[in-house]
Amino acid sequence: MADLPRDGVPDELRQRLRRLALLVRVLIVIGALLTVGCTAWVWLVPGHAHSQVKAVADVDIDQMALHTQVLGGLWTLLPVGIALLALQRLWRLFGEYAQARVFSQRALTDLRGFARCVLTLAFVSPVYGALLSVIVTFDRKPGTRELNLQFTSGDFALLLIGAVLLAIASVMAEAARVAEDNAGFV
Amino acid sequence: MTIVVNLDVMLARRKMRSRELAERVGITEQNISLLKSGKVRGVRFDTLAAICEVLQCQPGDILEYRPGAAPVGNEAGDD
Repeated sequence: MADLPRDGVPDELRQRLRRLALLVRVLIVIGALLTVGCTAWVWLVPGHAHSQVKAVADVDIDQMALHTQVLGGLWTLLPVGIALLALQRLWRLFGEYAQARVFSQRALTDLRGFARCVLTLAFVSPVYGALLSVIVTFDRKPGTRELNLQFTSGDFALLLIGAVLLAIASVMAEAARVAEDNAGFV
Repeated sequence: MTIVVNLDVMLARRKMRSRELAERVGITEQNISLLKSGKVRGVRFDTLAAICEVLQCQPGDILEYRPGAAPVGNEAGDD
């Protein structure tokens, strides 16, 4: 029988998990920086919010007053915050994986937390776009203001991914329970 | 109902240490210790067979049924 460390995880697998966790954590840092950086770029630098508003809220605007830009930026903090929370959960999850603790309670909690953030984003995204369309058109004359509600394929993908991740977390929790049960047998 | 593990008795009769038994059976010394103290949920048949082969004994020499005794946290089971 091959020698195994005390926790039963082979060294080769442990090293692979560590490398994977490092790679994912680098991607998480890049993702967080891009999320914050791009959001700041769009809402703090004049003239860049138009494309964002068009893409998210499907509204064409020529000019944006300062107070509108501020409101739009503040409202954007909601999806950005959820995205950062999701990345934080993912960071903690891969911290557990780096220690080869794949089925630990903390890993399962973080996986569920990440899945819930993804699901929340799927529901928040249409609402964000709708309210953003109201914010950027509120200064228009009555009758020309807009409320655009759209549900895109990206939102559906988030919904699907979040649901699948939640299901995977449930299956892993059951697997951990069975493993713990089996560990009691010699 | 409880199943009592008399592994320490057999080890003493065969003048064998737990470490040697663990190596020859192919399980960890920690698991042998847990088995001796009865702190396992069950024993797999292949483990039991390996122990009996090493100690040259029968399962009944290692496992004893004592009716009415207070459970001490172990029951022999199959997998």
